[in-house]
Amino acid sequence: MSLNYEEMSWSDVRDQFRKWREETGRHSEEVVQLWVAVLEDKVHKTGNERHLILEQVIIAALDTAQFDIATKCTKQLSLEFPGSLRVMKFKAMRYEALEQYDEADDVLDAIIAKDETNAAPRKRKIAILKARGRRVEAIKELNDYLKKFMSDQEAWHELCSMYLAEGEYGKAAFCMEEVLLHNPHSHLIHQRLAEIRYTMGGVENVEAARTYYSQALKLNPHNLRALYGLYLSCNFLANSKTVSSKRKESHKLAQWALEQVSSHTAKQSSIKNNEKLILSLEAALGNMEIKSN
Amino acid sequence: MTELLIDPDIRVWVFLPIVLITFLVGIVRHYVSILISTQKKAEITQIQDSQAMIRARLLRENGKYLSAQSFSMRKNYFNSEETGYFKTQKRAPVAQNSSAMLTDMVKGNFINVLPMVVIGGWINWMFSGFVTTKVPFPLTLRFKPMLQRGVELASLDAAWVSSASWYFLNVFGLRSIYTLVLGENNHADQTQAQADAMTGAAMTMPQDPKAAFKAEWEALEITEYHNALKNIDADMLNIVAASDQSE
Amino acid sequence: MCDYKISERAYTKLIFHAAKYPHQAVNGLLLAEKTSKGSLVEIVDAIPLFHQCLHVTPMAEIALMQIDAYAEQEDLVIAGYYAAPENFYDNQIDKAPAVKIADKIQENFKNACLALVDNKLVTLEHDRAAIQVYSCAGDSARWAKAKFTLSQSAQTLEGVSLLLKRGAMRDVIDFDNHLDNPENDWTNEFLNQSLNDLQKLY
Repeated sequence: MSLNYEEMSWSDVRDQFRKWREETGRHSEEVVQLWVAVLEDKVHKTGNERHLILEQVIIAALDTAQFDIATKCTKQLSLEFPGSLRVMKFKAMRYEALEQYDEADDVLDAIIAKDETNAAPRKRKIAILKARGRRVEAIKELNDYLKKFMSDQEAWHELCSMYLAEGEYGKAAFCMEEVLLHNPHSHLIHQRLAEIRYTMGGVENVEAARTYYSQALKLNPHNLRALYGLYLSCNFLANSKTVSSKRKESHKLAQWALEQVSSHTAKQSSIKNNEKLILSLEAALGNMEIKSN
Repeated sequence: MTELLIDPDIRVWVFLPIVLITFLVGIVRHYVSILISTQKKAEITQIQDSQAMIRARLLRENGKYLSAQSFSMRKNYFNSEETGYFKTQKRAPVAQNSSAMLTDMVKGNFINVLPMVVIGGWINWMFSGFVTTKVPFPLTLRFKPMLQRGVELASLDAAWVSSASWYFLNVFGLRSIYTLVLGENNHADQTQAQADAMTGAAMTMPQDPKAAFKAEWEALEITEYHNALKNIDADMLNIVAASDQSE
Repeated sequence: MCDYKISERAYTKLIFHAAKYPHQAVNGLLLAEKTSKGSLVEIVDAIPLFHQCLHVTPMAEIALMQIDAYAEQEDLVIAGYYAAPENFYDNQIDKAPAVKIADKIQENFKNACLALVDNKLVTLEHDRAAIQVYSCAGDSARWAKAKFTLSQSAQTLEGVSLLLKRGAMRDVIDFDNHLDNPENDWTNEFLNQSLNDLQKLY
């Protein structure tokens, strides 16, 4: 997305920032650029939203390694809220960005000592472990964290990706199921769970994968990953040793999924290699027919 | 019936003052409650318990999307006789008469009930017996006790509003104005405070974790696993058949 | 043991892919000419694959099937795998994500290589190739460091630095982008074209 910095007024920038905050998108580079170009001098006009904007800019500045901006904004906040734990967290994050992990850890420990119900510093500590490349320790810490804050779906999601990186697919699936309990109507979660199940392999898991892919498609018929996934899992089941009626069903579903895929891509892609794509899909289908013989 | 004409002095000395007083009382209440309220500090175990409760509730509601094994595994985690969370976690019941709770209650009464009684009584005494305004549409007789409190005139048309009723209309109707002036989550509106008191402050942990655990344990115990995705294959095949036919 | 030569296009695309998602691990495939000249494998193109979740296989299977067909069509062959680890300091092969894909490629193409992006070397001023190339020497199933050259290395590195400064890495499209929206072209026809144009200028 290209934004024309010259023509944006401070209120446009505020609205843009608000939109990014609501979408939880970082857009760090843009945030910092807009902050410097437009909003920095006008921030007092935004009223109480100012604090949220400052926090957003601090994180963006740390992301892009512009420590002077981050320090300046943190100072503004700490002048207004002396001793605030929330501001202390940003100080810790600054240490983190500077890779002074021990100092960051000390600050975070101090926050936790003051308010042990505060979830944010605990999560940051885990993030530090991850940044230091100690994934196994991070997993252990995150497990401890989740024993206390067990309905934190963001944490479950993170634990899932860490388990995936470690190749512990069963545990990763467990974490994803936990996320699914929080949003049973998100097609993306169903799809991810199906992907994990499919990766685990075996007839039982692939059947589960097919179920979750189907549900993802029911929730969003345009999910290309789910269509491909359904194709793959049905393909697998059509070649497995099950009842022949079931094999036929799977075969039919697989073909349907592939038809959907090609019609979706044919309809939407305006790109030159459109035919090539479909060609390669047919090649993949051919692959399946060889296997089913 | 002849049209009533209201003295303009009633508008200046009764109608507007009531609006003004109710509004200002709301503002004062907002700031007073900010001044005297203390941030409640939750214990880590309380948070842990409430999060466990949320997780158990989600399991009951959305467990149907999991496989039978995943569901019973989680149910076991909460409800198993020897190791279940709800069975093994022993929490001392929160002392009912702890001083913090007591001051909280006194404060609550102080900012909610007291002004309601005092100001309401004062308005009733000061401005009683006026007919202040008229709603611009005809109403049936049943509205008379609602709109004409303090003016018991059988012959008066139901559309007229008495001063006492006008006060109550203001009390309940100023919420959006407060939101406009003070922002969201203000403490000016006492109907809000009452509503909170009625629902028992849904967000905070119930007073007695033991009882809450037992209730959740029971609810989870009677939850039967039922697979919501059982029919998905048939559904998909139907979709396939439908798309085949349309071609 | 064979040597690898990596084209400007392949190098640019894989660095762009890593730079487009600086906070995530990315991976992709390397394509080479079908007719290898002796012991020299010429990597001519790169296909960026994923940035979201590298550790699950279904979409990787789909991508490999499609790219295999695409390579066949272009008279190329899948000759390698590249990956950029998530953690800034990870430049060891055992930390690289989804190396299994590379093993699979090696089963089909004996001289396959594995290129690992060294995050520390991806800078706006980069003066040496920010990748390490590994190959499976002989029959041992271990990946070992291999020799590689970057074609026109000085110019390529300069050009990549320049384009990174301009934010050109946002134009690279990987298979994940394609799956999000089929309008996105994972063959990067557009980017290839503009890279070709740029090359003519030099």
